[in-house]
Amino acid sequence: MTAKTRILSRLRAAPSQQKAAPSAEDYAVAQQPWRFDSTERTSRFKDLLTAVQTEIHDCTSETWPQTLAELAAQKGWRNLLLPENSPLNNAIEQTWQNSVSALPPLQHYDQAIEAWREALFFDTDAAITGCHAAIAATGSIVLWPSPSEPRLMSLVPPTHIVVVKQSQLADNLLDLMQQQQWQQGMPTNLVLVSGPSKTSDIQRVTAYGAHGPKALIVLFLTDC
Amino acid sequence: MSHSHPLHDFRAASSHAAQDPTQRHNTRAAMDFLMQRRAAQFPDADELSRLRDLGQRIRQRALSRLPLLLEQLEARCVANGIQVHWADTPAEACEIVAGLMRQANSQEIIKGKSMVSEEIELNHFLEAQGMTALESDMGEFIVQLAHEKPSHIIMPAIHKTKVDIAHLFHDELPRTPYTEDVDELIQIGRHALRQRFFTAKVGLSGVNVAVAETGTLVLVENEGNGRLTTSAPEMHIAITGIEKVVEKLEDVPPILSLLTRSATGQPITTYVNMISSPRKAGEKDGPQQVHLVLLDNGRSQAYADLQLRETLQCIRCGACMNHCPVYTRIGGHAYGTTYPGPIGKIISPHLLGLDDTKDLPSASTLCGACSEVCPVRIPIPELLLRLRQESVTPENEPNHPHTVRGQGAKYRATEKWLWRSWARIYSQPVLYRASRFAATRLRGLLPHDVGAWTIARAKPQPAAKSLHELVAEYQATQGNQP
Ligand code: SF4
Repeated sequence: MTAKTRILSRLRAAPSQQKAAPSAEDYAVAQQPWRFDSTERTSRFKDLLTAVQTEIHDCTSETWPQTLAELAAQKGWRNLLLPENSPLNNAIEQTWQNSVSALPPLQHYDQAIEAWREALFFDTDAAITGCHAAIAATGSIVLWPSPSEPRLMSLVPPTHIVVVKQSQLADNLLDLMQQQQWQQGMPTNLVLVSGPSKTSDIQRVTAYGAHGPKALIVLFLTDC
Repeated sequence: MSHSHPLHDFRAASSHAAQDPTQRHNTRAAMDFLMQRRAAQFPDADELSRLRDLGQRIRQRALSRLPLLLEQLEARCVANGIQVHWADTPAEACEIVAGLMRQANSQEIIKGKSMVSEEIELNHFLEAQGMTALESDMGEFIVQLAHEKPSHIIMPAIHKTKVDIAHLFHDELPRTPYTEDVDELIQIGRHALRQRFFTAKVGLSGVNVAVAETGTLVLVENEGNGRLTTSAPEMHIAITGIEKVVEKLEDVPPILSLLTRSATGQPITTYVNMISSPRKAGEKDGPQQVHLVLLDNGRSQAYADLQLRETLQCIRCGACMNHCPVYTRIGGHAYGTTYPGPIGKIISPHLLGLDDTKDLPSASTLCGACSEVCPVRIPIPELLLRLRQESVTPENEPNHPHTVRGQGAKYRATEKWLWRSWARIYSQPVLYRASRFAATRLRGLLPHDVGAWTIARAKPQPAAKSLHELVAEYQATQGNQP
């Protein structure tokens, strides 16, 4: 008998006890207290992220590439990693071309990790991605990595910049997954990010930049 | 290699720990911190109560359909490309992991936090095979470097101060200057482990919730080591107990909310990592292979009894230990088990047998602080009472089903005889009056030392007159008026 048959037959031999699935009313406790009007939604999202040392910059769909260029100059990144082909790329590349001051070179995540693992792990300072959605209740950003925006982009470089549109803000996780019917098809990897990497494992003192990004920068587009 | 546990002397270890002022101070401070953090997350008692009801319902519903859900989970995972393995015992689980490492041609494994891997003593097993396991969670890394075991399921190095860790890093890590600055210490850890993430071929993680509906493994963490462990190597092995499964994806948000708020008082952890498949064609990173190991190790024993089954509702938040007056005084190591504190007392007898854990169910005041905070409403004190009963009921007792391995480990014929005699005396008036007479008149004969009782207490001396006698005398003086 395999371990599987042994385990399952023991479980099946146990007395059975019917338990009803929770009702929609039961689940409402994970939704109702976490619904907001539009001002509150935005401010809660920002407050929670700021409380865990996330840098948030209000921009518009016009100004964000310029904000990014200023940050790049000011933070002294040696380079900036872009998705392979994202709607963000065009605006960034344009801004970089038109810039009079020197900006860090742009790179693209355009080959499998095996081909450039060392460069990603040790020589990439910052990466920018979009996001799938954002959540006000917990101050979270939903990343839905894709072939163009692979999962290590938001994880390995010390700085992760993420573009969040105001319209992408949902109230809470349960509302969001129900509206978008996530159970119909989950991606390889879905990540909720709620700040830069941190730990309190040494005497309960919070230190940022444990294993993931030390800095999380949100470019918050208020006009879309 | 063997998984036999030399009988841990809980009595000696706990009394030793309770007399260690450093341990007392560190654990107290940490538990106060965690209790305050949790309380701040639940300002609305009504919301908390309804959320706990929901958590309890989700977990009980999942357990009521456990065999079905496990098969559904396996089918969904396989359809998504995740390979599923079943392990009855710790030895089987260790063999599966070692086999997968050999298949990946790797002598080394990098680990995210996994209490189940502690439970099966994976590191020890791999070392005996000449393989290595490297812990990457900062707390686990510290504990491993110090050749110790975690003292808390959420904060493994909670028993250590930054000074301890400063010395440890300076002594154990090459070319590391002495520093007590926590930021610098964390950067030292980051740097040391980054190199290992870069080279690791196999990563091993635990699982916080497994979703049967979608074949999704949900992991929560703050550091990013869990994401690295599950994203950077070629192979990811996830290991979990069979009870961690839930029915639907929409069960995840309430469970997450209960888990992170109860555990560390965070509205959510920095990362919630949901894995549903290995790297797909066209994707540029992520592991080529994902394996899920489902471990029983005594869980089906708890499952076989409807009351003990409630033990399996646990989502491993650690709130019960944070609020436990016993844990706070003796710390995690004194228990000698992978899971310390109240949850450890109710789950360990199933994992290890009551013969190896017989002192645990009685190491409780039954104050109920644990069940008051438990996010899935496990009635821990009731389960402790039940396990106490099992520990004094011999295996061959007629009309008593054999439910727990090592049952009757505390059974003593003399004790049984004493209670029987007590019952006889108290149910027969003649005997009762005679014993009362003897106890009050011979009270002076009680020795000063009555064994364990008098180690920390005055001896329980009977009064000179019994209550019955006092009442009778009183009534006599009052002319027999009530
Ligand atoms: S028994 Fe309850 S409080 Fe304790 S770890 Fe499990 S879920 Fe948390």
